[in-house]
Amino acid sequence: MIKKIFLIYLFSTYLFATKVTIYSECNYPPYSYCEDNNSVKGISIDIYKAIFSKLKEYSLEVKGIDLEEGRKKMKNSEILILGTMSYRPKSRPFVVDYTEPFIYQEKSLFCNLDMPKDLIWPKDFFGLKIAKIKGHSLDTEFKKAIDNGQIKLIEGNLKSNIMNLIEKRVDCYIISKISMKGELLKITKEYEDNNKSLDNIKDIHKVKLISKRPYYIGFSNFYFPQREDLIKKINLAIKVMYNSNEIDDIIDKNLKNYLNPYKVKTINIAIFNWGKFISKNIEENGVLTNIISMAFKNRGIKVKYQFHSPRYSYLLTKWGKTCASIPWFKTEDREQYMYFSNKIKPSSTSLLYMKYKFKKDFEYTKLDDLRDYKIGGLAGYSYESIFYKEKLDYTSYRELTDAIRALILGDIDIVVHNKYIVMDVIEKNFPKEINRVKAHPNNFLEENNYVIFSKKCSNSLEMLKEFNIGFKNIKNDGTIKKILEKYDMSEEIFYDYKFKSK
Amino acid sequence: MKSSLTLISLIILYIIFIQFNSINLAVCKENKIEYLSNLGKDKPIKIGVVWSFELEKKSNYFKDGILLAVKELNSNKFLDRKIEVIFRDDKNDIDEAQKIANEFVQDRSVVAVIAHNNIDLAMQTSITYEYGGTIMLSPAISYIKFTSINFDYIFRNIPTDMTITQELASFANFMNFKKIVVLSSNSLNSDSLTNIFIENAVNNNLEIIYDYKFKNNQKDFIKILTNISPKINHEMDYDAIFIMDNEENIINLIKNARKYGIYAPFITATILNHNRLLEEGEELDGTIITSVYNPFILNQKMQLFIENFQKEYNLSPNSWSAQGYDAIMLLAKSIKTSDTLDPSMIIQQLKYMRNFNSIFGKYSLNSKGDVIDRKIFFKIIKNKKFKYFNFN
Repeated sequence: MIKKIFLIYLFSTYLFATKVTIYSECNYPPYSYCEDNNSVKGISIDIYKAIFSKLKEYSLEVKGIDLEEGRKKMKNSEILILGTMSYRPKSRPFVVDYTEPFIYQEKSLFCNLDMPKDLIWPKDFFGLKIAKIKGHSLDTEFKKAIDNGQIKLIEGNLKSNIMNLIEKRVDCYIISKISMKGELLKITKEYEDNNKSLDNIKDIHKVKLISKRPYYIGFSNFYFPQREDLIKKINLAIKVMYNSNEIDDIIDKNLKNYLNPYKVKTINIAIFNWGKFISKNIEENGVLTNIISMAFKNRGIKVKYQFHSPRYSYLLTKWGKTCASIPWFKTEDREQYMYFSNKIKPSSTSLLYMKYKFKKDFEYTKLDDLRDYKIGGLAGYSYESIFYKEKLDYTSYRELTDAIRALILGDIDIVVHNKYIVMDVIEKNFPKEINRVKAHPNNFLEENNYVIFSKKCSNSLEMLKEFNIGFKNIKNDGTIKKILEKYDMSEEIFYDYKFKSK
Repeated sequence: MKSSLTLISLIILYIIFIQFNSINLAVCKENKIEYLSNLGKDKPIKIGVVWSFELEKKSNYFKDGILLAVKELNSNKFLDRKIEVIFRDDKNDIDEAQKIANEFVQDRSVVAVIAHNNIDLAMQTSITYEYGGTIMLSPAISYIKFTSINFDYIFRNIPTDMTITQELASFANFMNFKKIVVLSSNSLNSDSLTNIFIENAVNNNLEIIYDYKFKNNQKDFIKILTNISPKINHEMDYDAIFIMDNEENIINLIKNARKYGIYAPFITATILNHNRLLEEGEELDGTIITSVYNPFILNQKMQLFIENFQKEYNLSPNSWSAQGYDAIMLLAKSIKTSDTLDPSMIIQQLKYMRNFNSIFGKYSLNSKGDVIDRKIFFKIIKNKKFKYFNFN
């Protein structure tokens, strides 16, 4: 019964794809490791994902598991598929099928003692304490030496073993060179940050290459109908990926990140003049760009801004030439091309007019009330589609100053835009007119602004996630408030008090 | 209308050809059928291969594909006799191509010819092969009208431009290219393909926001680029640019477009020289290329072909290696099924070939000699590498 339920769970068919669950080791970076939220990541996982992206009939779920527990569960047929297994038919008879090898791992012996070269493994290491990751396999000679008491085996996880090696509680450690290098980088940084001596770390060096082994995806002896087909297709996908260097590319990409954990990432953001919030002429390009930069900085990401017109900023982002842009309202059309961040700043779009033209505010409660007026706005803004759709008398201007000039000259009756931005432009370009322009009390639109991330950029979802976390952090720790104070801006103006109160 | 004009001009060409050609093609055909129908089992199957070999100086991928197929068939004894290939270089010259065609139709032992990679050469020599009773299989001519006369002996194993263009419109929809700029030269082929693309794009609910035809062999694109540059023409908003012209102009136009701030992806149905594109620099990044070959498909036969090719030549095959390999395999299959070397019987097998299990997957041929059900692939240039889309 349990098996049946398990089968249904693991191979539930939805749409046309059969869901396949691969369990993967939790403690072996950069190959396979679990994060705090128990999601599993690493080179092996990226390879599984690439394999399954080619198999239309199957969808993939990867779950992290302690390696020993995984094997135990596989023995009891509680787990059908376990990733990154070496081929050991005698010691693991419960693994009845393997795919073709999808990765080759080198394991080396690292020691903290001075040793001559050309030592013979394992006989020249008798009498030493040697560590390995719990659950990782032993070669025959090594096992024999342990059984005979010639070598003392210490088992732990990746980090605890390295710490034992640094603290000289063990003499050597059998581990992948890449895992060792990546982990040592992190530990060195920790030591440096805490002003600890690096002498012991410097003592660690590779002594010998112990093995280079192929690794497979293993299948338990519990039969399920798609097993043969699945293995056949995985094997073909592995072959394709080797022929196309896709596996090498995945390994390289992961190693680049793993071995450069402190490398600063950069994102290019297309922006445009947006009143006092974004401008080339303000320190650090304005308050909004400053906030955005700080949010990314909070996540270790550097921002480069490029000024363009709003429409061109949007197009460059849509085409994937730049990967992000600010600030944008959410529309159905834009959602087809962009990912949207969490809300960064609410703002309203107002209807602005010359006081002399209307002694009292003109009647505006619905769109149809605007039918008798000539309206102007800025090209590329979401409100344009509303006017075009309703066939109102609307003119699109390339620059906001052009629209305001048209308003002053009487060519149009109403400018539609954010009132703070309009007033800011008037103050700078037409100061005498500042008291002659008024915003209608009823806002035309009340929306939120977002950072948009291009769906054409491969890292957009990652950047989006980082930005959202960073933005929340700087809001909570008071950074945003400090930035607003620096620009002598109240939260009311920044967050648009009227809108906020609704 | 254009189709009937082409047909008439070909018939006129044929009449002139018959008048001035000293070869009696009908006699050649008769002799060939009789000779091949009674050919002893000890004699090899002769297949001619005509290509502009001199143009592929570094490595002859097409020839290598052909030779690999022949080697495999002969070592597996797929047919009851050996296949022998006669390579000839047409030097991309129409007189040379015609001379070779005359020789092949007169040679009674040549069952079929795999030829050419130039449309003009293929169109003209197809008349000789048709009336000379020699099967002609083209691995490279995608031009729609190549098979429009419904000749009996003329086939191809490459999808037609029409199929490619129709698929491209579906692909544009798949990529969410809702607003498209269309640029094409006014040559007959570009014009007709562009119209097919537009028709299919509209059927896919895509919007053609700008459609411009420039002169054939035009080199100056300033006016076009000014019109579609969103930096200059602020009303412009589009997702992709469809371009139809020769390879040189396409590359030139894309490079110049970048100078005008146009970074929208270019898509084209033109079969381009893929290696050359990668050498053209980063301006071509984001260009989407149509291809009939995808080495990364999950197809056992394709992967085996790639593996064997790499073993044999220490090189990765390209689309021409695959096309050449497939052409030989297709001919071998039709010869085996017809159980005779009589070309008039083999063509029946080709015309009604269904679900041929090729390295590209299963495909069929129709009575016109066109390949049907062959997949079209799309790939994008990114950092001087091709990345295939997971489409179809």
